[in-house]
Amino acid sequence: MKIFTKIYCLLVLLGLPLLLQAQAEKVTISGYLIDGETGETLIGASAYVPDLGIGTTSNEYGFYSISLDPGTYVIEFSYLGFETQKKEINLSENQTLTIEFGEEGIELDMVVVTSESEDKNVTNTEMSVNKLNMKTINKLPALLGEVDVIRSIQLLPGVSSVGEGATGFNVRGGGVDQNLVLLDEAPVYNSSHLFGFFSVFNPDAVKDVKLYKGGIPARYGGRLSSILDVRMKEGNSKNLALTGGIGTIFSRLAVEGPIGDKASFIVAGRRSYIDILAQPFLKANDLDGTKLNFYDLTLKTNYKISDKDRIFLSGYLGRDNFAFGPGAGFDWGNKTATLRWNHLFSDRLFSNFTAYYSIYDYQINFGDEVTNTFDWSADIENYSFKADMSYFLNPKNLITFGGQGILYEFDPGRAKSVTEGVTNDFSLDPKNALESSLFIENEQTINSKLSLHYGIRFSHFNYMGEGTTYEFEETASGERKQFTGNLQEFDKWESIQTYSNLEPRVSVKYQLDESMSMKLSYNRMAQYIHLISNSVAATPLDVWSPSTNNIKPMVVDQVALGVFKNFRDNNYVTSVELYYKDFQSLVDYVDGADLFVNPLLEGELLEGEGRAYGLELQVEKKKGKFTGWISYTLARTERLVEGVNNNEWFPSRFDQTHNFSTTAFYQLSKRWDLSANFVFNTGTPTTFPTDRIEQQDYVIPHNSNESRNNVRIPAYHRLDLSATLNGKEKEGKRWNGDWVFSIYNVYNRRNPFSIFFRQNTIRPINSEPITTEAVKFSVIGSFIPAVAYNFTFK
Amino acid sequence: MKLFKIALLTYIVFNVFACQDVVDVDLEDGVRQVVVDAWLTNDIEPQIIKLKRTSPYFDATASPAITGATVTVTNQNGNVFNFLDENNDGNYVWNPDGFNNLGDVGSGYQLDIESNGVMYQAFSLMNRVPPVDSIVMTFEEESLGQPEGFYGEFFAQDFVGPGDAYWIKTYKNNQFLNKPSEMNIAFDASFTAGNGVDGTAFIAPIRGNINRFPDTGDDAVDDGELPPYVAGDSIRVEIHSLNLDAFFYLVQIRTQMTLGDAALFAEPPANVATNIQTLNSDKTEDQAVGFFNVAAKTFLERSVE
Repeated sequence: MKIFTKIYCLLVLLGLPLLLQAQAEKVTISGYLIDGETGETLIGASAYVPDLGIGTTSNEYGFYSISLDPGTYVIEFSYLGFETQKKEINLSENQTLTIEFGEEGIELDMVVVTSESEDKNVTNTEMSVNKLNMKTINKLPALLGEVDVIRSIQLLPGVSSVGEGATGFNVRGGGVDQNLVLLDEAPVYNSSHLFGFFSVFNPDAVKDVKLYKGGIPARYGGRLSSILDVRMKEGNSKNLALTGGIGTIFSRLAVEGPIGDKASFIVAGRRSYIDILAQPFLKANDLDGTKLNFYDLTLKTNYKISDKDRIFLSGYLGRDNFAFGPGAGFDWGNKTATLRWNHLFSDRLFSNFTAYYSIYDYQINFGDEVTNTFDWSADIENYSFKADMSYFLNPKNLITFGGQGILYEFDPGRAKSVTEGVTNDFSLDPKNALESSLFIENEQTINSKLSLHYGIRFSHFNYMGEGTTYEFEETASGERKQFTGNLQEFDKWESIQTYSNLEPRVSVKYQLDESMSMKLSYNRMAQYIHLISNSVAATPLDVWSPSTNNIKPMVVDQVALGVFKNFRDNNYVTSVELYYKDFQSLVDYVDGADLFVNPLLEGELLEGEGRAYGLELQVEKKKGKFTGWISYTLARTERLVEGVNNNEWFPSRFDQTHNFSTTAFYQLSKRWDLSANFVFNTGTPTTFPTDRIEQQDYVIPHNSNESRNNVRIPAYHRLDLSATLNGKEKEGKRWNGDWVFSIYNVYNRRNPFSIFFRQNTIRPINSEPITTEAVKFSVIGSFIPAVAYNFTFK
Repeated sequence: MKLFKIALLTYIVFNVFACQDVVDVDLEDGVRQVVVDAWLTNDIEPQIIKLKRTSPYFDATASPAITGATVTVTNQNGNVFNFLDENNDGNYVWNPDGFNNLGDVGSGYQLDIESNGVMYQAFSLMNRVPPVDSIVMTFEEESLGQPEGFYGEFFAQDFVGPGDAYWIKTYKNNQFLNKPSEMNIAFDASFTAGNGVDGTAFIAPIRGNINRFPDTGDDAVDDGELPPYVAGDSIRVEIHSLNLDAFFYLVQIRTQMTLGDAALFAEPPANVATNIQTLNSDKTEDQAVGFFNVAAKTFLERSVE
C-alpha cells in the first residue's frame, strides 16, 4: 500500500503542472448563482453548455466559472426547484454573469424543464454523498414536531444510530467520533442538545447539508468515516424577513435582511421549554435554582467589499443547562466563530481563506455549602486557519489545492473538591497539539463517459508540551497496562510525538448510457483525535484526547463501488453502492475502564482493528404530488481486539444487519401536505450474561464464555406521520403561517434501547436466594403527538 | 464519577417518555464455574467462606454448593486457620476459640482451596479502619424524590495518607441494606482513587449514603414513598477495611449490577475480575470467580428517636 501511495502522489504532483501548461487562448465566463427572492447564493447549481455537452456547478459560495473558446454559446443555468434560465452569450473576452433564479411556478402539473442538474447524481463523479435540502428536512415528520438535521440524515442509507436519544450518528460502521461535523467550516464537537434528542443546528439558519460517506475529496480530512458539511444562510439580501415557530420543545425566531446593498445578516435563536414541561414533576419548593433548558443562537453576516472580495462572519453559541437547586448543576455546549474571505484572483482562480475558533466544554458543580463542593469541567478548544484555492482551468479540469493548520488545546479535566473546608485540586494537565495538512485535487473530465476526481492529502500531527508523558508496562492482552513509574516532562511547544499520513483519494465515473453510470472510489483517511467514551451512547461528559506517545492515530481505507441509474426523465433516482472499510488502530477499553479525571487514562485503552462492509440501496421519486425515498442498508461492522472475545472478531455496538427506512410526501391539495416515514433496524448487539455469581448477598451477572456482543436486542421499528396545513397564498400577503401536526411512533411501540439485568427490585432478604430479571429500557415508551406553528413574515 | 444526582436529573428528563419493562430473554448456555465468597473480618465470631458453582443467571434456587473441599487461611506467621464444612452445605466455617480472632491490622493472609484436585489461591492484607464516631439522625421535610422522615449521616475520619479503602455496610433493624444501588464504598474520604480527598471526614454523599435509597424503577415495591427511617428503628453502621483490588472489585460489581440506572450512558456489560487464582487447571469449568478480602471492622449502633 505504501508504494502504491507514493507512486500515486508522484503522478498527481507531476500530472497537474502538465495540465496547467496545456492552456490555449480561452475566455472565461464566471459569476454567482443566486436565489432571486432571498439573495442567497446557491450551492451546486448548474451552468451547462448543451452544444458542447460540458458544464460546471457552483461551489460552496455559489461561484461558477467556465472557460471556452471565443464564440457564441447558449448556457443553461439550473437548480432544482427553480426555473431553468437559458442565456445566449457572445464570448469574446472574459466576462462575469450573475444569475438570479426565480422560483418555479406553484402549479403542480407544470411541465418541469429538463435540466442538467437533475441527473447530477448519475453524471458527476461524486459517490457516497447525500444532500438533503432544507425544504425536504422541513417536511419530514419529526419527534415532537421539531425539524432536525441530524435525525433527518439518519433516514439515509449507511447512516445509523445506537438508538433514540443517543448523541451523534454512525456512518458505514464508524463511531460517532469519526464524523467531522462542520458548521460553516468550524467543527462542532458535540452536535446534540438534550443528550441526543435534538441537534444543535437551528433549521431556520441552515442553507445546505451535505454528507460525505465515501469517495471523500482530498480537501476534507481529520475524521475516518464522514464529513457532514452544514452551511448557514447568508441572510436575505433583498428584504427584511422573519421566520419562526412555536413548537412543543423549542420556540424559534430568525431575523434576516440586507444592510445597505453590500451586506446582509441573519440572527436565529431557539430556546426550549423543557423546564416548563418538567414542572409538574417537580414540587413547589424544589423549583428554587432549578434549571432545565437549552438554547442556541446562530449569527451570520457578510459584506461584499468588491466584485472580487467578500467576507463572511458567522458564529454559533449553544448551551444545555441542568440544575437542581443551588446544589447540583450540569451544563455543556459548543461555541464556534468563523471568519471567511472569498477572493477572486482572476476569473478562474477562486480562493477562500478561513479562520475559525471552536470550543466544546462542560461543567459540573455539586455542593450547596461553601465547605463541601465539587467542581469539574473539561473542554476541547481549537484555532484554525485554512486556505483553499479553486482553479477553473478549463471546463474539463477543476483544480483545488490548499492547506490547513489546527491548534488544539485539550483540557481533559479540571477538578476541585472542597471537603469540610479542605481544598483538593486534582486537575489533569492540558494537552496541546497541532494538526496540519496540505492537499491538492483535480476534477477531470476525460470524455463524455469518463471522469475522474483524484487528489492527495498530506496530514501531520504534532503532540506538544507542555506536559508529562507516562510509560506503561507491556501487559497481557486485554488487560489494564500498569504505569512503570517512568514519566517525562516536556516544555511548552516541545514536540512529544509526531505522526504523519499520506491520504490518497480517487473517484472514477464511467457513463454506461445517458441515464446510468458506474463509479468507483478509494479513500484513505487519518484521524488524530479520539473521543474517549465507553458507554452505550456517547455522553456530554466524554472527553476528547489527542493521539499521544501511547495512542496511535486511527486510519481507514475505504473502497466503494456504485451504480447510478435514473428512470422516467429523472423522476426516479436510484443507486446501489457496495463498500468495504478496513480500520486500523481503533481505540477500545479494558473492562471496567476508569476514563474520568484519570492521569493514567492511556493504561485503560486497548488498540484494535475493525472492518465494515455493506450494500446500500436508494430509490428516490422526485417529481409529482407523491415524492419520497426508500433506503436500505445491509451491513456488518466488526472489531478485533486482542484479549477480548477470545481474540475473535465481534460485532461493534452499532452493528445493524438491516437498516430500512422509507419516507413519503404527498401533496393532498394546495394547502395540505402529508408525510410519513417508517424505519426498521436490526437490534444492536449487546452482551448478555450466562451465569450468576452470588457474592455477599448480591447477584452479579457473569458471562462464562467470555464473549462480547453475543446477542442482539429486538429489532427497532417505528412509523411517524405528519400533516401540514399551509397558510393561504395571497398576493401581497406578508404573514404566512403553517400548522404542522405530527405523531411520532404512531403504533406505540416500546422500542428497546438496551436490555439490562438486575436483582429484583423487591428488597432481597438475607440468605434467601435472590431473584433476577431482564429489563428492557425504552427511551420512548409511547406515541408522541405534537403540534407546531411556523411562520414567515416578509 | 457516576454521580447519583446526574442519574436522577437524566432520569427526570427522560422519564417523560421513557419506560422499563421486564422481559423474557433467552441466555446462552454457560459453563458452571467455581464461586469463592470469602469476605472475612477480625470479629470474634464464626468466619464463613462459601464455595459454590455459578448457576444460570435466572435460576433463583440456591446455587449448587461445592462440598468436600479443603479450605485454609494462613497468616504471615504461618498460623493456619482451618475452615470446615461441618453441615456439608458449602459453608466452610472457622470458629474462633475463646478470644482470638484472625489477627490484627497489618497482617497478611493466604487463602488456599483444594477442590477435586484443583488448587486455588488468593492473598489479602488486613488494612486499617477508623472508628465510627457518631450517627446523626435528622428529621427532614418532604423534598424532591425524598419522602418525609428520618435521615441518617455517619461521621468517621479517614486516615492521613492516600490509599485507604472502606466498605460501609448499613443495617436497618438488623437487615443489611443490600440493594446494589445502596452499596457504599469509599476510597480515602471520597469516591475514587486519585482525587486527593484524604485524611478528612468522609465527604457528605458517603456520610449520607446509609439511608435506604428510594427506588427509581417503575415497579418500586418496598420503598418509593416510605421514609428511610422512622422513630423506633435501629441503625448499625459498619466500616470494613478493603484491599485496593477489593475496592475496585466492588466498584465494578456495583456498576454491573446497576447498568439500568445509567440508562443511555450505561457502560457495556463486562465480567468482573477476581483475585482468586486457579493454579493447576486451564479448563473453563475450573476457573474461579468471586473474591477474598480480610477486613478490620468497626461499627456503631443506635436507635432512631
